[in-house]
Amino acid sequence: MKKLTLPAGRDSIQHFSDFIEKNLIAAGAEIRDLFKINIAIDEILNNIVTHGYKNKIGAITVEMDFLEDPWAVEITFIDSAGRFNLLDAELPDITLPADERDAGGLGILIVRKTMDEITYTRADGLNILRIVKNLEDTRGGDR
Amino acid sequence: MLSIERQFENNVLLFKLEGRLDTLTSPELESELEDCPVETEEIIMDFEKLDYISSAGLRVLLKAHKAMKEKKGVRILNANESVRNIFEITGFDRILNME
Repeated sequence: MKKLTLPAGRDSIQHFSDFIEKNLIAAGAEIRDLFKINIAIDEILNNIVTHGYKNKIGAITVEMDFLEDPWAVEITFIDSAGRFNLLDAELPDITLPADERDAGGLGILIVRKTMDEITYTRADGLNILRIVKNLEDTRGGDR
Repeated sequence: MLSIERQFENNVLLFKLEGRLDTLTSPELESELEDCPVETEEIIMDFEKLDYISSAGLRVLLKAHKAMKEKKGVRILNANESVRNIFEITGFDRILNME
């Protein structure tokens, strides 16, 4: 398991993205999966920084691991901001015309539609959000 | 990582984007759009070299589209599979003109 803890902030989003991307590339993940995961972590981290910590001081820990059968990446986000479960969040009505649309909730919608598994736990004052994305397995060879 | 190439011709403002349009880079595009000439009739976004878009990028596109609603709006060219997928999930494929 790989783990990285950084102060909550916009600069850290780039560091977390680089950390996850580097490990996905090293493991042999396909670019298509990489993009989906990058988008999801952008949404989740931005949500924690902006809405969770409200741009104030805090810390975020990201843990990542690979699962087998099926091959997948598991990424866990841990923060101590107020309770927020994105599985409970109201999703935007995507059928509204442009005039009546706003951009609220789109990030959560994207995460929920593109990840294969999402679990949320609140424990010891922490939000623990775990996402799993199945990966196209093109590694080949014996493992 | 995002690079933005901009052209203005015949009242059409064309942006060619390369890289990733996300939380960190979308303010750059927003700032370019705020600097849009008043005579602009249409905004065209060429996404041929855009890897992906997150909701932060969608927010900027929606704002531009609303600002241009009395004119021709925002047209998207050459979006890749990843971008199209995000547009479909969020219903933006029905809001913006896509080719």
